[in-house]
Amino acid sequence: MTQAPKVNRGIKPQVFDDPAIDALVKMLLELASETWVTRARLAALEAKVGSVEDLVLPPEAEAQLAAERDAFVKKIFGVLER
Amino acid sequence: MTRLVTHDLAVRPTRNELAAQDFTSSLRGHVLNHMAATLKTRFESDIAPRLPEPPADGRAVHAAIRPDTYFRFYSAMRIGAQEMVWASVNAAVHRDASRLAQTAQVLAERGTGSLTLDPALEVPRSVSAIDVHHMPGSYSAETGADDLTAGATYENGLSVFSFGLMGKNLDDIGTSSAFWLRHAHPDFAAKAILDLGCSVGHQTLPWKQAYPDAHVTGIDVAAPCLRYAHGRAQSQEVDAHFVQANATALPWPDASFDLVYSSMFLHELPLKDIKAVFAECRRVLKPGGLMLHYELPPNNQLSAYDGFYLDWDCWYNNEPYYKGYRDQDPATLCAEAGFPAGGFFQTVVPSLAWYGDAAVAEALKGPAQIGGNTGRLADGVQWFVYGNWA
Repeated sequence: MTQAPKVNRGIKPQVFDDPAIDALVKMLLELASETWVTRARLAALEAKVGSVEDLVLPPEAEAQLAAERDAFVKKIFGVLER
Repeated sequence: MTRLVTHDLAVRPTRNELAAQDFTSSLRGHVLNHMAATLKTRFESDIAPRLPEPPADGRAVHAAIRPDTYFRFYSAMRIGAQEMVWASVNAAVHRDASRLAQTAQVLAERGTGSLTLDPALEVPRSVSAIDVHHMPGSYSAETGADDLTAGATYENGLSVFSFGLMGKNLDDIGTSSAFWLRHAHPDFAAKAILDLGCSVGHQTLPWKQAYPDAHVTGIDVAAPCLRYAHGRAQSQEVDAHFVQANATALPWPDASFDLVYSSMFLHELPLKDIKAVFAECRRVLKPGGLMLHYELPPNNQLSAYDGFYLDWDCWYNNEPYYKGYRDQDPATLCAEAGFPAGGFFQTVVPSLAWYGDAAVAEALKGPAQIGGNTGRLADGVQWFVYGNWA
């Protein structure tokens, strides 16, 4: 396991007068990507197990999901820290 | 594995990572096909008619279109998609770094190709000091003597970036260039071939496939890309040789090669380096040899709008020398390097991956015309190629 370089070297372009709009566009793109990832995963799951409409998750799975949800939020809105 | 990286150095993205890669490819396809077409229509119908005079060049088009909201969304989405290309492959590459290095060691023993690195070579700042294409670490970042993650990042990223337009093995530019040369000059005997700035060697290998008897060498300044290129070639059982060297100072004597090629290389170089590269090409070519470059078409052969469209990458994609190169005249660069004027030519080669061998062979019988899809990564792309006989 190595680490990808994290520091951006070069010019970070800004296209809108207000940088907030650039950030909002990136948030929307990340959201759209996450939505697609979820839909692709759901399609795979439901192809395997059938409908999950009435399924209750065990507590550890709920906890795992909560951690992933936190990471999900950070990924979408983390653009403000970059 | 990433969709188009299926050899032994393939990484193992999770299902979620693969879905994110697919999404990013689709997003880029939307931006570069649909939004790009809308942008051009919008400029021609709404923006240009209100200008006091027709824009003289791409810079004037950029100035006129820059305040436009649609252009800003186009650019912001293209920049975002570019960042997402690398983000969609980074985790898989770095998670797999050790296994990739070990696999490369095994592959190195397997074939007859070679890898020659020069740890003393100074990597030029045009590569080392900037994240070209916003790729984290650029081509040359490495953590140790066996690190090839930069190469893996580049090839897996290219798979996502190209949304199918660079062929199933990401080698369509090299394959199409070699196809053109074999058709246009069937008697040309290329025994020694050099590919400049080859990165992961994806456009190098088609030359060995087109000229099986040739000794094919790819050079680059970036060691991690060359380590990857060597493993990739061995995995694909193509006999090629990779050498760490700077194309501005080639480590070969005069008259060493029949063909010196490059693809998507010159536009990343400062102008003084471009001129040095051309002079080196002239020096190492044998009499009757050929210098051949795949590149973006020059601004002096495009409309102001099409010039602006291609120069977008210079302003927004961390490719600072891009426009400086595209403002040059290829024939003049060749002449200044001492190539005979009568030996210059340029042509347009339709993408083999897009059009197929038969259609391309037919197209090559007619005159080559630079069109709106020449050098533009969008559906129906055609590659611009030029060169000079020595």
